Amino acid sequence: MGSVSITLIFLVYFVLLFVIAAVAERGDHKLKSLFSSPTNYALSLTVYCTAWTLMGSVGQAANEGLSFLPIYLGPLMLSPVWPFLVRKIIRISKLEGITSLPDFISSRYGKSVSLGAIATVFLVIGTIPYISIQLKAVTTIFDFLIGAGHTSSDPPFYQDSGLQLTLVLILFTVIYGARRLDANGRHTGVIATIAFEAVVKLACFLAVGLFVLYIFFGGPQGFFNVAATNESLSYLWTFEASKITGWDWFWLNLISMCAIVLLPRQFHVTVVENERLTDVNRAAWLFPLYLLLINLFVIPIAAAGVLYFGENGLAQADAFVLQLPAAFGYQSVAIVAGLGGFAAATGMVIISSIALSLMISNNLVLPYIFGYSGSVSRSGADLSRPLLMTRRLIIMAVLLLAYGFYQLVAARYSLVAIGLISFTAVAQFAPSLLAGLYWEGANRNGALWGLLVGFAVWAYTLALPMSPLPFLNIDTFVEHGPWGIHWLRPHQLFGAEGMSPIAHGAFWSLSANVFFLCVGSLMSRPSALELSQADLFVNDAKHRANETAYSVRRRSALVRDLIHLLSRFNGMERANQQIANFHRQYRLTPPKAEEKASPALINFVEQQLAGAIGTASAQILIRTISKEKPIELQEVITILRRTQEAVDHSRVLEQKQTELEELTQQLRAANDQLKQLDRLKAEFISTVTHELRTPITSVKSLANILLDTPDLTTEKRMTFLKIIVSESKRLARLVSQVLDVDKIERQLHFEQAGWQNLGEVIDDAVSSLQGLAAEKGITIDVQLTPDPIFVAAPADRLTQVVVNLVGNAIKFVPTEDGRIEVSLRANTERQLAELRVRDNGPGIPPEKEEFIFQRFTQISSQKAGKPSGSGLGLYITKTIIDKCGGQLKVERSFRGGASFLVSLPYRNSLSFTVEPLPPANLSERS
Amino acid sequence: MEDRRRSARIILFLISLALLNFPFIGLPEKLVGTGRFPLLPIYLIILWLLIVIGVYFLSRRDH
Repeated sequence: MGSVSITLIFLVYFVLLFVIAAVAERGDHKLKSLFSSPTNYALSLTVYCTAWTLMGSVGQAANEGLSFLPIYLGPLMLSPVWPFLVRKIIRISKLEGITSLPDFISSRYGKSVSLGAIATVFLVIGTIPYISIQLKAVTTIFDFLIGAGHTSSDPPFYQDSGLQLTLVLILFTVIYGARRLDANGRHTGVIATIAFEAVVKLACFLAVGLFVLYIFFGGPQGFFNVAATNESLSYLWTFEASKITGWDWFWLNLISMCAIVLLPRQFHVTVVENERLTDVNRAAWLFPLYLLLINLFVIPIAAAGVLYFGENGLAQADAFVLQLPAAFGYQSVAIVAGLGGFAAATGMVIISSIALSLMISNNLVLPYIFGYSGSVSRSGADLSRPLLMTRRLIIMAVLLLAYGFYQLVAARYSLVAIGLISFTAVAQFAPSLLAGLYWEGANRNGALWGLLVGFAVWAYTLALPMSPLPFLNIDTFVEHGPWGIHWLRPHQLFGAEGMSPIAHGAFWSLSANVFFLCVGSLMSRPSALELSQADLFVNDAKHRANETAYSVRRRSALVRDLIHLLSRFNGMERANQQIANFHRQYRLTPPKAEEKASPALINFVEQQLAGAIGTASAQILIRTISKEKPIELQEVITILRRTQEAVDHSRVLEQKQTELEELTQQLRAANDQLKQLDRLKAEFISTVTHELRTPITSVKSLANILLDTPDLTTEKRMTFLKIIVSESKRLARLVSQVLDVDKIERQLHFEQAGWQNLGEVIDDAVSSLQGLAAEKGITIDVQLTPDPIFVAAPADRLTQVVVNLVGNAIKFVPTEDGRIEVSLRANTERQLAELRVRDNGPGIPPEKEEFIFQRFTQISSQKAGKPSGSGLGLYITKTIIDKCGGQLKVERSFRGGASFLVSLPYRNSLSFTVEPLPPANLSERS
Repeated sequence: MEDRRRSARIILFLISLALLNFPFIGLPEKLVGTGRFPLLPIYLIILWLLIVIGVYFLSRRDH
């Protein structure tokens, strides 16, 4: 394929990026949900995977085996705790209008302008070389594909493909990366293209991997065969061969963990571009999965490269992904690989330059413009256009600087070498960031000292040995140290040997950073603002719980001036709308323009400004229109303590409210129970009345007949009298049962009643019912234990229990082949006497089991019809057993009939002093 | 409940830290001998997937 075709393909790819960005920016279309989805957010995080991943990893694997992995294992290890760390950072950033890492550091440590500026300078120094190696990667890819790498003479600078590609990247980034000033700082179009590029680079790399696996090795089996038999390749999948030590491995993992949060592009896509906190949940697992997929074929590609190109090819191993398909004549696969590397590099360059332009403008340019030129901040001109223009110029400057660095330095070093030095540079922010989030005692002086010393050590141990300084012989400097001082050798500082330069640099710089952060914080006192910011960052949950903002600052400003200031960046209409929204959100009465603004409103305007121009610049601008009374440190501490008390009090109130709600629920349940009882009482009266009226009516009617018919035959007269006697008995029994209920309910326990031989009681009770059962053709089978079982209960009540249970069974079993089993056994394990009454009747439906022991509850069935009785029998029986300290329950009968189990505490003999038993805790035993 | 989820995340983090650093990460090599078979990459892939699955379930509960 010719160079024109290749150029055209890359141009089409660029046009596609523009189209995607334009479509995403339009906003009012069906794809909106796609561009704002959690998956889109997760994919945007893969801007972490640059050309280093697609090309550098293969190069490193081909030379050193698995030592390329820590860059990806670090983020993987961090992934379990990454969500709650990042959620906290995002929450604070949204609250404070933070748009970059220096902004975050500056805001946390008292909105320090100097700290923000120093952090920005360090990040720029650490990131420019990293951008430059991406430019190197895209240039290498492009030159390789069009075959431009073999020309003998250097082309004029305007024909350099690296410069041309840099200019196209500048064009795209300027158009979509500095489009408008936005308080939330999001770039929908850019993020959409980054997500698209994430898919492209993964697909391209997998395509090359599959090509190598199936075309070069003839399938996975072929690869494993080669791996198992070819000893010259064994170093690819071992640590031993790569000479990496556990110490090096640990530090590489650690700086990679830091990089996934702190790299300017990662902070930007993770924090600034985050739309919803919940998006973090999907990214937490999707991102490490993506890392796995993109690394899946690194080893096979490296192995194929080593086998095909041999040891001589190792110097160019970064380009194996391109060279292998091309060497086999698969030009299309080489183009696919090139597109993947291109996507990876351009994504990184675009986001990094946007992030750097934001931090440079907000922390270096604007604070000094606003700070030193008061007229700029007091004039009424619209500042949004000059501000956007400044950012565009910074983007151009950053990318041209990176291009220059590539031409001067980066061309001589590998992707990995420069990448790892950048990683170590950004890792210097980890101590001040983590201390800022979790240690209230960390202050500005500590952070400043930590960063300064950490970067100084980083520069000495890592950056300086790679810098082409005309006045320094680097080789001698590295080998013998400055002025021949041995213990100052940059790669063996203080005699620390046996470490790789990166692990060595990371160890010394981070150790010094942490030490000075702690000492600096402990040795100096924070300012009032630092203290309040520390409270906001460390105890963000407290502020969330409190909702309404509180301020420890005594600032006063006119509402008119605040609106005017806001309008200079957002326009008058939007500024008024933002102020109105603020009052609506907190249900406040909007003040008049000439009135003094509340502290909360001043804070709000400052946060809105911070979103557009950074926290440090926003504070400078607010200072120009407000008056501030100094506040003593002790007062701040008092305010913070009171706020904490208010939050605690609020928590107590919340807890009490919960308790009250629970109490209300209980009262409601009690009320329902009372209503139920009332209904039961009404039913009770109705049932008793009904039960009493039936026999009375019968007696009354028969008595009337006897009275009015004197000539009635003797036989009929006798029949009527028998019925009258029978009905009178039934009446008496009913009245007696109602009285029984009352009497039994009044008694506390029956234990004092003495010990009864339960077997004898059962025998007597069953004997009294044998006649009735025999009349109906029902068999009662009694099985008792040979040894006596004594239970503590009144004999008559025990008899009543047996009679009720057996009598009930007689009512329900069929009249011809009815069968009732009464058995008694001693359960020695649970120390309970168990009396079972089982029958072959219709049984008790499961849904009615819990009701049958209630008063006046009767079970009727189609077979048995409505039973005779008062519905009090089982209730009385259960009450008696409960009073005896026992338990009555329904069992599932194996023959389908009803089965009742009475469990009572027992003794085997009476040869002891009769003492009252404690109430048995059957619920524990059963 | 939130504290419990946080503890679970920290435990998974510490386990990952232990298993993906020396000496645990060197165990597969010790098992089969250096360079005899690409067991180490297989060990890493399995561990990688297990961590992803663990984070997935923790994140679902968070959601």
